[in-house]
Amino acid sequence: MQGIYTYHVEVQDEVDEAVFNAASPIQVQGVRLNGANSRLIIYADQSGLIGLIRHLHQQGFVLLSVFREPFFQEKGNENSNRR
Amino acid sequence: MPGDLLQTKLYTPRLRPSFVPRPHLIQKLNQGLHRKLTLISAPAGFGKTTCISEWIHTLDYPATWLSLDNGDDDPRRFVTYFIAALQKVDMTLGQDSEDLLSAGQLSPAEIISTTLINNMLALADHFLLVLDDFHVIQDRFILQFLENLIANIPPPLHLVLITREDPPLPLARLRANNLLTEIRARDLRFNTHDTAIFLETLGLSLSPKDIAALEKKSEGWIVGLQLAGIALQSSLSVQNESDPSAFIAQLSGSHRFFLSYLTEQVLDQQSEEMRQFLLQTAILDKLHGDLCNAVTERTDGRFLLERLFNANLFLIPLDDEGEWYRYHHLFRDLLRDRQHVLRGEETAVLHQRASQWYVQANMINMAIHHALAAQDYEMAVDLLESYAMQMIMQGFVKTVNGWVEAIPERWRSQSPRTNLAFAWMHLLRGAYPQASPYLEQLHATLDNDPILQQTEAETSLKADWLVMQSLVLYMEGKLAESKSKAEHALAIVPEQDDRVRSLAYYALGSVCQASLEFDRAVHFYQLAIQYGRAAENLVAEMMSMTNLAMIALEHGKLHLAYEIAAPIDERNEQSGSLPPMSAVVYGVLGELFIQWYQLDRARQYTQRSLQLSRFGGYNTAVVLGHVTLSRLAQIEGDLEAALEEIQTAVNLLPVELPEYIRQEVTAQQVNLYLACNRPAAAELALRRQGFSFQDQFIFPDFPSEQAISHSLGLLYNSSLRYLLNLAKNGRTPDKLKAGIDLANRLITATLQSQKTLVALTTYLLRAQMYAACGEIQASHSDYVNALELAETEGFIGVFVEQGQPVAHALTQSRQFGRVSKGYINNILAAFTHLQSPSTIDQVSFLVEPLSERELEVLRLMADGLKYKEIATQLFISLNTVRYHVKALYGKLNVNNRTQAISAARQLELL
Repeated sequence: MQGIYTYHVEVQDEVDEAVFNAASPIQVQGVRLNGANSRLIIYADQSGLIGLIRHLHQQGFVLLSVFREPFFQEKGNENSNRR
Repeated sequence: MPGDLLQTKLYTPRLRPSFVPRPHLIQKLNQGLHRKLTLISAPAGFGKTTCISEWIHTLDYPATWLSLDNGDDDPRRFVTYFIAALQKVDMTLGQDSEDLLSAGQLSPAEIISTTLINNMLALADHFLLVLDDFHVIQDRFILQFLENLIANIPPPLHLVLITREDPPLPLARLRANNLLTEIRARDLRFNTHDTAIFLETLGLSLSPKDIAALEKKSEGWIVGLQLAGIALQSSLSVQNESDPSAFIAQLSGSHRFFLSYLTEQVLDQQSEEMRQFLLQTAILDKLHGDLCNAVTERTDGRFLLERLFNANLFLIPLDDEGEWYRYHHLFRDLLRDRQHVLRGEETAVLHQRASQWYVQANMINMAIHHALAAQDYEMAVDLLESYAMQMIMQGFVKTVNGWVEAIPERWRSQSPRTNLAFAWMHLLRGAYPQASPYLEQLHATLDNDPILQQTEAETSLKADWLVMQSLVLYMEGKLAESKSKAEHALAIVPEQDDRVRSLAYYALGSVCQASLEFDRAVHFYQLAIQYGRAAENLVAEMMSMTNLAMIALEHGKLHLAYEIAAPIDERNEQSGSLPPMSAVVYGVLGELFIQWYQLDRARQYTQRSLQLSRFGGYNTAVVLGHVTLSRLAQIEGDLEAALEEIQTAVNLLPVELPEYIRQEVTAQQVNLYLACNRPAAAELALRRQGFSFQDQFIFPDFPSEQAISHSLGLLYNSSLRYLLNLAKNGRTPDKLKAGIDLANRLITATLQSQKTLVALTTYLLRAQMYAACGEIQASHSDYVNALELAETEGFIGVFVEQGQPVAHALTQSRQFGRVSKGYINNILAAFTHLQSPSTIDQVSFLVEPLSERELEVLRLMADGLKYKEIATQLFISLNTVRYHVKALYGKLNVNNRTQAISAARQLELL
């Protein structure tokens, strides 16, 4: 439940990846333009995702959708963190 | 802040003897010590605080801790506690900043953080600063403060942020540069080994299979495991035959459900007495034996708290003496949910009792918090009336505002002093619309309540209200009424109330200044300064000095303006404090140094003015700051930067601002657009101010000669510059005659009212207009007039802003009346330092301006109308529309509607 996943966060308008990353709490791994909207791709856990969404809201972006990639593959092997 | 700082917020949590050691986390944290920042980011209940607490106990470093709560999302309060936390490491830290805090209004975030960084640089030893529960912080000022601190972190400091969500700070950048250590939920959660140790500390001996099952069900979520352990403990002790495997098997669902279910289990296993105590005290953020006694009406609060702590029931100590505790946030929230469901009506009574206890303890913040929670507005208003003015003047604006917003409308009117405090706060920042609701509330109370005004304190309140009305009327341009209110205030104000007296004199000074009675204005400002100093009222003193400096500047007394403004700057430098209300003084200094052609100093002062006015919310000073920066960039030949600055000023204009601001912005727009060869944009800007250049030159009504203001003078001058530009391009030289007529009237008016700065510009424009008409002698005569008027005070900027034609004229003649050669050489030297204007993108100007009709067509096109619809609307034929469209496409150098609209927007034609 608290692992790190790939999330797609779609917002209205264009996002410049480099400019956005300069002030973002989470590193955006890529931005795909989807018509007039942008889809930000991030690897994050729940705390990171919530932080990013709040940051987007405070920056004035209109949030359109959030979804987790269908292959529930955590980044790295989740079990490797367990001793 | 009324009441002392809560020392419990600065307490480093102590570890329970039975904690589960986390050596792999300690190792990771130690490895990150050389980086700037450690971030512990995970949802509630993952043991973040315990983890850092354990780490601190293993370190040789000194560490200091600040537990944040919702009330700390107030810049003033946050900085106060931040410094208090630093002083736990070294008492000298932040002492410079205490001056910044005592200035009434906070200095900008960068200034406070830079002062603290410089303090920390002097420390020899490393230390750790932990900010716990950082997710409660969303305030821009505080985030800016921390962003600056993190970007320039002094080597002795290692900062640790504990939060439930990633904070809105530029962490991605730190991460990319390997300057950040992170501990997240997946690092913190218990694995099977940790779970086994943890259950042993609870005295539970489970089979490896049950341990693994519990770990899997809880997903290593520590608070869930703790609840499950306590529930299991009780269940096993009550029923020896109870099967832990069955208990574990029935656990399922999300964390929240898991927690809710287990809390119920745990509560059900408590005695009635303890269950009551838990539910009743759950309304408290912090628990103290006496406070609990007051709330529960028991006498054994301290004993019960100790019992809860020993039972490991989510009680966290907040000091070493065992006096203050808090519940784990998650546990507290669930208790509150149940408390609300079971005993909704009782809750208000509990909050009232807590509020009364906090009043006795002089902890007013908490007293008001609980009074509001109890919806006891009578008590909340009473407390606000006693403390609001003091707190607002100390800068706790956000906190007090939060309280006022929580009070229903009808109760606010019963709080005249609180409304007065808020109204003053907004008025002093020039934010009239924001002050209006408070003024209306005051009006409802003071003008309709004959009972008030009986005592001296109430007379003082009435006088305060009259002064405020006077200032509002002044801002509305109702000078006679404004004067009458200020005089009324002076007539009734109690003798010892120097604060209100100083503000009343300030109001009278403002009225006289606006009426162009400058001698009387100076007299009243001097009285305001005198009484302001006696009352230690920095506001009246500073505003009066600022206006005196403004009067001197507009009258061309540059040295006098400097003598008035410079001491304020010196005082700020010495105290290390930059009160936002000194923004206008720095604006005056910026203008002075433009005129003396020391552009670096001019920029430095203007930027400081801008920074302070942004922070103070002085919208007028923000706009004027951008106008001045635009002028500076234009003087230095950077037209792109000049355009950016003026655009910023234009964007701020929709905010309700006095007309003079709009006039100053337009004047600079026109000058700049002409420098960028964008006459159409310049014309449009002037047309919006009531000028017309179509058939003849028409300008807005010229006021009586005594009433010409500085800003209106600037606006008229910009229209003269536009006419000059038309004539230079060989178009409509006949309008120059009308321009010269306007210049004549303007020079007469500005000389009479001693508006030297405007008069100088008008002389230089008229000189160029005469030259364009071939009247060389008249032109030379105007240059002489301007130079003679300017030499004593050393004006240079006003000449340079006119551009190369003036330089050319000054080099053409050897003799300019009695003006010294040296002074003329100084002006010419300034021209030689000028850069050539930067090139402007071809699309950014129009070779030929659009006609009025073409502009109308363009606007309708932008509204999405078809040609036929445009024809109907304008009562013209379809062919005529096509003709206009073709013409405007040509002028805009575009091929279709979309391009035309885009180009027009770029040119600010739409």
